[in-house]
Amino acid sequence: MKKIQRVNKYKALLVMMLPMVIVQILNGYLPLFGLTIAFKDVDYSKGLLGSDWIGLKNFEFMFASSDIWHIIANTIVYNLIFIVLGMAMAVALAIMLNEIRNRFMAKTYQTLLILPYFLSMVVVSYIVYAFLSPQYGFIPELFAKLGLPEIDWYSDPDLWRPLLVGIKMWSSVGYNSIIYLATLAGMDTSLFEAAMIDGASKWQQIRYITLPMLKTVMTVTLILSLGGIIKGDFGLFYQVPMNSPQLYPATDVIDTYVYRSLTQLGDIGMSSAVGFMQSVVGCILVIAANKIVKFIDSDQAIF
Amino acid sequence: MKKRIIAGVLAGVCGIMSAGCSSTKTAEETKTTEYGDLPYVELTMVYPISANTTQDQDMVTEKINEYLKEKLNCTVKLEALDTSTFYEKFPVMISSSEEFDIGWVNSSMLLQNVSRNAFVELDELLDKYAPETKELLPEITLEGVKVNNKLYSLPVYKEYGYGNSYYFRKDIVDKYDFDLSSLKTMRDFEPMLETIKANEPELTPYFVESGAMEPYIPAEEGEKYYFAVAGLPGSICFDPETEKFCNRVETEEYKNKYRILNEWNKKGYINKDAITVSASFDEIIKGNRGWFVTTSSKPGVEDSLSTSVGTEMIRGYDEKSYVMTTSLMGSMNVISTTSKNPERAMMLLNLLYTDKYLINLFNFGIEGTHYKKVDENTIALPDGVTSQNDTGYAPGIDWRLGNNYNLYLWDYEKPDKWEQYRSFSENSEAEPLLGFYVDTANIKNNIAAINNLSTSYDMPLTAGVGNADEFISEYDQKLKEAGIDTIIEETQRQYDEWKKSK
Repeated sequence: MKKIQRVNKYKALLVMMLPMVIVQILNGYLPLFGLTIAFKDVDYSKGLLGSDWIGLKNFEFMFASSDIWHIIANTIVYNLIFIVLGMAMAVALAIMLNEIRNRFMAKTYQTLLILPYFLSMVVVSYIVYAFLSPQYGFIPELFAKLGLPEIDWYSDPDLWRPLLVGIKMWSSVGYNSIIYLATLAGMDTSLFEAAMIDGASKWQQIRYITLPMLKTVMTVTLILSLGGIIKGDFGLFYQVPMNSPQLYPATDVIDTYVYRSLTQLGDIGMSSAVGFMQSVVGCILVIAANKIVKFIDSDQAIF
Repeated sequence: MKKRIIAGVLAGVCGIMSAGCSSTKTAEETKTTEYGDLPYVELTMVYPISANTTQDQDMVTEKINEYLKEKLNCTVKLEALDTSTFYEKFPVMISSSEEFDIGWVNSSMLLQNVSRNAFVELDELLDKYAPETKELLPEITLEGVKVNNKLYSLPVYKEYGYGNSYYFRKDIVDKYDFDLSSLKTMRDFEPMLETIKANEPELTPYFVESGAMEPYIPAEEGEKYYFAVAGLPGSICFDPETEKFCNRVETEEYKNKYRILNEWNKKGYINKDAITVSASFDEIIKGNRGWFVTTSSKPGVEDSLSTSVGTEMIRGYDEKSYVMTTSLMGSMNVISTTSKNPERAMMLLNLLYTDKYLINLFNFGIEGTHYKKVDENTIALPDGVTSQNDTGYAPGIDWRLGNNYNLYLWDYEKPDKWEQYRSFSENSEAEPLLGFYVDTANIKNNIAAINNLSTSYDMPLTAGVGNADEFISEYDQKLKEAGIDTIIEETQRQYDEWKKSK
């Protein structure tokens, strides 16, 4: 009886929630059946559910090559850098944008910084190519004019580690800063006024007021982004270096490796196995990170 | 406001429902054709075409459908995909069990997917619905595409030997008086490359692009010829003398080839952007980047190539041609297990092999618009058009569908092209592995790992960058780690068994 009353009370809210729940079931839960593909020897005539179980055999191919550890390391290190550096830059950017008093300029900067996020990596790859192409690129030509030594950008992997990080930051930092900017906009300005009266410098205000206020949002973003730590940004690592084989030591991540191994083989079971593994590791990391956060400061944990 | 939204939703639902009704209605229409009473169906065909040359596809499709409606009471939905997207998209279509009826495959696509039952077995269908085609296709081609003694695909009826040839720009060859007949090894190339480098600053002496194949010409005269194995990565090859499979990267012939390319790169014969640039033959020649290209040595290629690139090309050094499993399986059409109408699909295939009007429509488009007729079997470009690519319909699918021998000839082609095709096929020697294919079920992991290595090493080696010897020994090392020996052992075992059963 109580329950019905409560349902009645929140009727409007429940109805509003319904579309999202349906979408979530259709997009998030129904496809979970597909996870079984990772353990099957797919036979189209028997259908996905009827195919034979083959245990962990689909996972074996990943470890057939000695390169895999290097590739896993690549994936994780890049993502760690993206997470840490990305967060630091996004927060810094949000604070800077927040300090701009001229509203028109603030909006202009914001728009310009977010714009790269909406460029497809394929487009980005050609922008980069226009700069670096060994035959007609802007930078090689410039180097030649200035009499600097010739660098073959598409065959030196060491150059690409910082380059990829730079490109990723350029494309994502503006977008990522929005969430921090929104938090800052909602902050109580009286705190700053009080601090100013007490003679706090700008730097001190940021350190002791702004950053602590952003802590919650930062923790949530951190925990959530850990879930993707063994997924490589395919566009960034495959398209931007023009899939140049000589750059593989620096650009090969799990996703590109799997793509190359399996496009010719076309084995759906093996590729599902990779997706399965990435999701499981991601899930474990999110739960573990949340546990740790909870242990340190239970208010900051997300669940 | 609320009422209006509801009304909108209702209208939408009605629309969807009525659309549903109308489409089921046409599906029931039955028509009497020469194949008996057939209900109307729509068939989907998936095949690759050359890029950006089929603006008029819809127009041609309409014509095709008009004809097919009459003949088979069906229409076709043509999923003609750009070559570069085809090889990525089609495997995904197959693995996601998307519905289609007829598809184009090559050897590796066939072998991979037959083991997963993606394609319909055709023996019965062929006997029943396409006896003319069965009659038409040479025994050796139908036998050659069988897997486990069962037919899953129809080979396109065309030449069936395989070899490569170089095609050079005639004006350049004449200008410097190059003697193409003396071309026997890679070393013979060198004086020509040197001349080009010294005198033609615009041209790259040895142009390489990211899709380039390795030079087929031997590094030195009298080198041993190794055969590729259908369904396996190129690093595994077959030695016909010892009848053993081996690691190709370890052979002296392989090393020599890449050492020379390496040398050429150091001498500046190869373009700097070889690894990242991709260019079609048109772009290479018209764009003044290279002065020769490599492609199949079948008869008549120089004629069609000359028109498509807009300057006269002549051939030099024909590789010995062989009838191989891979060449027989080079171009085939299959019927998908997701097809609801495999019988009709077979009838359509039969028409593609036997109906002259239809196959020419597919290939050349509409008479008067995309070509004009010169006589019964000869056609020419419409007035004022210099290249087939500019007509609005140039799919480049002559070798991908049906029966080549039913095609019209362009006025620039030799009138005896089809006779030449026949003699080319008959003069091609059968390779020792003909009819043998590997069951890859137990070595899939190793193949996946090696495919990955091929993409990492083949291209830099072909572009001649770095140090070839270091690259090759590193490649070899990695191949061993990825289990190339396991593949060789397994293949050898299957080969020995196959040999015994023969």
